[in-house]
Amino acid sequence: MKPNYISEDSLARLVEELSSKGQLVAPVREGRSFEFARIKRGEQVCLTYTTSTIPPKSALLPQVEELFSYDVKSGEVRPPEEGDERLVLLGVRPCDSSAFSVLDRVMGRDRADPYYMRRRDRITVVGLSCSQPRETCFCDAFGTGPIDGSGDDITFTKVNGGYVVRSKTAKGARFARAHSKHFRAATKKEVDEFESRSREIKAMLASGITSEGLADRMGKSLEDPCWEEASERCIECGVCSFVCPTCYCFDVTEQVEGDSGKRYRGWDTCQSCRFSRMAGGLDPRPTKVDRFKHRFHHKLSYVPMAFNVMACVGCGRCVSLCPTNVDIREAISKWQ
Amino acid sequence: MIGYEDGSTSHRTRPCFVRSPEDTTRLVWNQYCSANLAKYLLGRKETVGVVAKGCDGRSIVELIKENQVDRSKVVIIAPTCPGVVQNPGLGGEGPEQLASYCERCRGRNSPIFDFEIAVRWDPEKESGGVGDKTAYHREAIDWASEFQRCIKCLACIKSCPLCYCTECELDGSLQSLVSKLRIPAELPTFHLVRAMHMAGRCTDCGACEAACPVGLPLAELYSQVNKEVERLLGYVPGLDIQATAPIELPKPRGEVE
Amino acid sequence: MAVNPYLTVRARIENIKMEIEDTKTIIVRPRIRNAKTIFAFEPGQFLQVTAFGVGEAPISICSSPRDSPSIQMSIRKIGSVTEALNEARVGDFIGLRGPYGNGWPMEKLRKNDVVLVAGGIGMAPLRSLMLTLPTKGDMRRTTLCYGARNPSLLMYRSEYANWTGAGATIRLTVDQGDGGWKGNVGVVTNLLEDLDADREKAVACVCGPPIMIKFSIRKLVQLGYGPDNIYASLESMMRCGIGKCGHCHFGAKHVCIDGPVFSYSDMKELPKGFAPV
Repeated sequence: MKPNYISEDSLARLVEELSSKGQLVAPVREGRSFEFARIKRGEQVCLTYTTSTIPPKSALLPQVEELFSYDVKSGEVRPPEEGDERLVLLGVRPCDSSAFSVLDRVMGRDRADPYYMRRRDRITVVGLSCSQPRETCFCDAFGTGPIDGSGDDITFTKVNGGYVVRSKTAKGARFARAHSKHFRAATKKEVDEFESRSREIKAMLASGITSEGLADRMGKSLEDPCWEEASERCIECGVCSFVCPTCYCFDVTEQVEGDSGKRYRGWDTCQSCRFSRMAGGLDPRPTKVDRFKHRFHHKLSYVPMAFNVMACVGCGRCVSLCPTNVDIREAISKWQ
Repeated sequence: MIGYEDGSTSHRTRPCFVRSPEDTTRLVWNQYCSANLAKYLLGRKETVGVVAKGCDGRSIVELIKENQVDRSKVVIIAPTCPGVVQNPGLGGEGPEQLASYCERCRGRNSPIFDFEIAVRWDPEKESGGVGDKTAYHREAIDWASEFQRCIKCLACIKSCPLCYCTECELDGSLQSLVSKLRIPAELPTFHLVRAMHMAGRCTDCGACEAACPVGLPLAELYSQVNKEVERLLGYVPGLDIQATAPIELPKPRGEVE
Repeated sequence: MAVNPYLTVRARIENIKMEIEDTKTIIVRPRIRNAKTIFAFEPGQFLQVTAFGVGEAPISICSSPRDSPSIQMSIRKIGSVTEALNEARVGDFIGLRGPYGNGWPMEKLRKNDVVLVAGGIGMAPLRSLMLTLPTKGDMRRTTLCYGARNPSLLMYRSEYANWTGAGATIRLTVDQGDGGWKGNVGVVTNLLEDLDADREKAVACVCGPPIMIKFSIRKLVQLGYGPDNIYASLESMMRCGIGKCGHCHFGAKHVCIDGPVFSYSDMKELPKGFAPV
C-alpha cells in the first residue's frame, strides 16, 4: 500500500473534527509531564510529547471498571450498560502500541474478556513514530519500536511539514478513507525523508540489550543469589506495575450499599504482599525477594512461555519512575 | 552501611547497601539523594550505618520515639545536605530546581548523628548543589483536582519511613477504610487519612513527593497539617529527641519492639 | 456483549449439611436455563463461588457429575467469603461461575488401579472421584487412604459404607485418636504401603495441606509409582478463574486453566516455591 501524507495544518483540522465529536483521546500536558486525555479542544493535543506517565493501556483496560451490579438478597445480576462509543487513540508510541498486542493475547485467549475486546474493537490506534528516544528507552531489545508498533492501525511518522502515513490494518485503512480529505499521497521526497529519518532514529536506539534466549535463561535464574542484592532497595510500592504498558493483572472487589452491590475489577500489582496470599495465610511468594523475582520472571519468562510474547516493550517508564531506581535493563542484561 | 550510589540514569541516585570497605567507593552525596534511607532501618536486628540528610535524621528521631529503631544499633553519618532536586517525573525538560519542601528545611544536617560532616555547597560549581534561589513552586493548589490525579500506587506510603504498619488500612485490606482499587470518590479519604497519620510525625523529607509518579504535592499537604500541630501543641517532629511526641504513650521509651 | 465469563449465575441453596468443625456441605442448584449443560463438570474442577456483597472464592466441587445440575461443595470457614457461605441458609442465593480447571485425569483413572490420598478437607475434591469411579465388579481396584488430625475431623463418615459397597477399599488414620477410636494412628503416608494396586501403572490422586501433599508424593515415588501418574490438586489465590487476572500464573501455567490438578512431573517444572515438591 502506498504511503499517504498529512500536513500539520491538515492534522490540526482532523484533530478539531474528531475532538468536536468527542471521539479523540490524545496526549496532553499535565504539569511537567504528559497524560492521555479526552480532547475537548484541538490545541490541547501535544504530539511532541516524549511519553506519558500513565500508558495508553488505560483506554483498553481502565484502572477501575464495573463488571456488574447485583441485588444482594436475590442474586440478580445486571451487566453494565454498553456504550456505543468509538474512539480514536492518537499519538501512541510504538512501544505502547506493541504493548496492546501483549494485552490482546492475554485478554483474547479462550473465554475472552468481553470488556477488553469490545473496547479494543471500538478504538482506532493511530501510532506515532518516535523522533527523540529518552535515555531510558530500549525498544530495540524487543523489536517494539521506534518507528512501528505492532498494535497500530495506522502509523504517522514525522517528516518536514507533516507526517508520512501508513495504514497497517483494515481498520486503519477505513480510518484513512473516512478522513481522506485530510490526506494525500506522499511524494517521493517525503517517502525518502521518512526512510532516512527512520534509519537515523533506529540508530539512536542502541541499548545493547537483546531479548533473544532471554525467556529460557530468565526462567532458569530463580535460585540465583543475585536477586537478593537486586531487590534490597525495592520498597514494594508497585509504581512499576501501574505505569507499565503491558501489566494487566487485576484485583476484584465488591462495593455494597444496602441491598445492592457492584463488583469492580481494577489494576493490581504483584509487588503487593497480598497478591498471592490465600485466605488462611498460605503464600507461595511470602517475601519481598520472591515478589521482586516474580515481576521479572512473569514479564520475561512466564508470559512468553504461556502466550508466546515478551511482556516488556522497553518503554523505560519503570526505570524512570521507580522511587529506588530498580532498573529492568540490569536484570535483562544479566540474563540475556 | 546504607547510603546512596549513582543511579542507572543521569541526575539520579539510588539507595545502596555496602558490605565491604572496597564497596564504599560506590557511595555518593549530592542533590539527587531524595530517598529517605531511614526506611531501611525498619525491622533490622543487626547494627547498621546510615547516611542521613537533615530530614532523614529527624525521621530517625521520631522512629526512636515510636520504638521502631534502637539508637544503639544505628550509626548515623550526617553530611550537610545541599537540598534535593525536584523530581521532574517524565517531563524532564527545563533546568533543575530545588524541591519545594527543601525551601521549608529545618536544618540541612541531622540533629542526631555519630559522625557529622560539614559540607559547604557552592551552586556556582557543577557539583555544587542546586542552590536555594531556584525552588520549584506550585501556584495555589486545588486539592480536589490533585487528589483525582492520584493512581493509588501507594508509593507515598512505601517510601515513608514513618509508615511501618505491616498491614496498612489504606491498602484496602479487609474491612478497611478504602478499597484496594482506585475508586475516585475515595481518593480524598485516602489522602486526608494519610495526612492525619502524618500529624506530629512527618519530618517533611519529601520522599513521598519524590516517589509519586504523578507528582502530587504531598509534602505540602502534610506540612500544612504539621503547621497546625506546631501552632496548637508547639511540637515539630524530629527536632528534639528529648521532647515527648504527641503520639507517645506515657511509658518508658527505649524498648524496641 | 459477547458471552461474559465474569457474570456470576445465581444458585439457590437447596440443602445444607454439617460436616466437621467450621465446615458445611452446601447443595445448590443454578438458576439458569440449560444449567445441566452450562455447569456440566468433571471431578476435580472448581467453581468461583460468590457470597453476594462479600466476594468470590474458588471452591472444589465434591459431588458426582451425574447429580448435575445439583452441585455440592464442602466449604470450610477460613476467610470472609467462606465465612459468609458458612453462615448462609437454605433458600439463600449464592453466585456460581465455572466450572473451571482441568479436573482429575479421568481417562487414565478409568483404565488403571487408583489410589486416592486425602488429608483433612482435601477429601472434598476426591469425594467427587469416589462417587464417580468405583463400580462393583470392575477389574480396577480403587483404594482411599484418608488421614485427619483427629476422628471428629474425618469428613463424610456416613458415606464410607456406600463407597466400600461400590467396590472401594478405605484405609483411615488420625494423628491423634480419641477414646472410641480403634483404627490407625499416624500420618497418612503410613497407609500407602502394601496397597492393592499395580504400582507401575496405578494412578494416584493426592489432595490436602501442602505438607501432606509433599510427603505423600515422596512416599509414592519411593514405593515405585510413576511421576507421570501421581497427581495433586493445588491451591492458589484466584480472582478471575479464566487466566486473565494473573494471580494464579506460575511459570507457563495458570492454576485455573492448566490446574488445579498437576502431575508430579509437571509440578517439578513449575517455579520453585509454588508446588509442594
